[in-house]
Amino acid sequence: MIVEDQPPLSVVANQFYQSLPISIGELSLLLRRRSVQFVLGLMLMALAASCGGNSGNEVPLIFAAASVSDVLTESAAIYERETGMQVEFSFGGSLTLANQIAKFGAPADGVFFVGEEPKTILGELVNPVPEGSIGLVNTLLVIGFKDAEHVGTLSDLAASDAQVVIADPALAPAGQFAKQALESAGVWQDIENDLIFAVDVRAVLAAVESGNSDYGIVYRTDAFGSDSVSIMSEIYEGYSPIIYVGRSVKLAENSASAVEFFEFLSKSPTVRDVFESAGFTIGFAGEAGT
Amino acid sequence: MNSDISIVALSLQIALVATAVTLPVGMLVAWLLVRKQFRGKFVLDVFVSLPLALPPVVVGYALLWLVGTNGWIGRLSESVFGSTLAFTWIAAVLAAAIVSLPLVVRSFAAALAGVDPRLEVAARGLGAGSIRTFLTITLPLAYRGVIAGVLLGFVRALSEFGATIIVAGNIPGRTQTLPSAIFTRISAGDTDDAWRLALVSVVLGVIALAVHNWLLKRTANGISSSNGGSR
Repeated sequence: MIVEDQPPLSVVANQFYQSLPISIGELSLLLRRRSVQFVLGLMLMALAASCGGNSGNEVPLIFAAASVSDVLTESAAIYERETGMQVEFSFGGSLTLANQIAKFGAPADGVFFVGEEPKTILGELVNPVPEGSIGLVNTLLVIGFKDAEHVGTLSDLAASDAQVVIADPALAPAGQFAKQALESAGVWQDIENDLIFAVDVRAVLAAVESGNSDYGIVYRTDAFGSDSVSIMSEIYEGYSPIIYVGRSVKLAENSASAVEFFEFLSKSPTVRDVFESAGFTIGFAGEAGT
Repeated sequence: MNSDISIVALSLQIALVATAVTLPVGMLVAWLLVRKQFRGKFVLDVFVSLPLALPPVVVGYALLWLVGTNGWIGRLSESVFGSTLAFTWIAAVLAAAIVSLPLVVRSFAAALAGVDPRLEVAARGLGAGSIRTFLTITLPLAYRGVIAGVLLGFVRALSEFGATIIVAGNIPGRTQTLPSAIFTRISAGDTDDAWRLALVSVVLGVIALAVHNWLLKRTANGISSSNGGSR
C-alpha cells in the first residue's frame, strides 16, 4: 500500500525540473552569450591560477634583514650557478619580519637576522645555529649628504641641530643599535627632537643619498655600497655586537633546503668574497644546544 | 626587466582573481540591498561599505588576524593545507577583494536600481523563476553599470597597497605587487626603478580606463541597435 503512494520516478523528475529557477534550454541560451562566457572564463582562470599557485616546490623562502639584501641576492645567484638550487627572499626590518613569523605564521623556511631581539621574538620557532656557521659582523657609521658639514663625533652630531635619520628602533635592529650608541655617548636627550625614524636601514641611506636629510646613522656596509654619501665618522663602541646569522624555521615545509643554503654560505669561498668586499667582517659561530 | 614582467603578471593575477570573487559576491549583496527588505539590511550595508571608510591598514590588520595563526580562517587552512594563508598571494587576493567590494557593490546597486521593477514582476508573472528573471531581464538592462563596476573594482584591486602589504607582506615573486614593488624601490632609493614601475602603473591604469570607455560605448550601441532590430 505504501509503495503505491509514492509517485513514479518520471513525475518526481518532472516536478524537480519545474522547480528549477532556470530551464535547461534557457541555460544553454545563456551560455551562448559572450558576456556570460567572459565571466565564466574569468572564474575558470582564477580557479586554474589558484590551483597552480599551490603546487609544492623545494625553494626555501628566507626572511632576511634589509641590510644584507644585496649580498644575499648575489650569494643566491652563486648558489644557483654552482648547485642549480634556488632560494627566495623577503627583505625588511628584522623585527618586522620576525613578528610576521611569530605572531601571524608567515611562511618563512629560514631567517637571516641581526642582533638578539629577533631571536627572542622567534624563541622556540627556530633551530639553534649549527656549529661552524658563518656570521657576518657589522659596525655603525655616521653618514652625511655630500654637501653636509663634517661632524667628527656623535656629540658634534647632536650639537649640529641638523636633522638626523635613524632606522625606527621599534622596527629595525639598526635603529636599536643607533639608539644604544647615542645613549652611550650621552647625547640621546639632546638629539631626540632632531631625529627622524625610517622603516629600515636602507630607507635611512636613501633619505641621506637624496639629500632629504643631512645626516644618518647606518651600517658600515650600507655606506660602502653608496657613492653619493660621505662617511663622517665610524662608531666602534657603545652598542651590542652586530652579528647576522642564519637559522632554519623548525616546522617549515622547506626547512631542510634553508639549512642547505646556509651551509653553502658557510663553505663557499666565492660567497665569502662577496661578503668581504661588501665590508662585512666574517666570523664562524654556533650555538651548542638541543 | 624580467622581474618587471613577473611583478606586473602577479599584480594582474591577483587583481583578476579578486575581481572574479567580487563579481558574484557584489552582485548578490547589491541585489539584496536594492530589491529586498529584511532585518539587518543596514548592518549588511555598513559591513560591506566599511572598507571604504577605514584606512586600508586597518582592513589589512583585521584580515591578518583572521587568516593568521590565531584566526579561525588561519586555523582552518592550517588544518586543511598545513599552512596559514597569511603572507601568501591568496591573502593579497582577499585584501584586494575586500577593499574593492564597496565600489563594486555601489556601482552594481546603482545599476540594479535603474531597472524598472515592473519588468521583473511581469517576467515572474509569465512564469520565470527569480534567478531566470535576474539573468534574462535585470542583468541585461543593468549591463552598463555592471561593467563599470567590474572595471572599477579591477582597477582598485590592481592599485591596492595598504591592506595588501600588511596581510601579504612584500615578498618578491610571491606577494610583491606593483604598488609594493614601487614602495620597496622608493625606500631603497632606487629612483630609476621606482619611476619606471610608476610609469607601468600609469599605462595599466590608462588601458583599464580605455577598455572601460570602449565597453560602455559598445554596449550602448549594442543595446540601441538590438532594440531597433526587434521593433
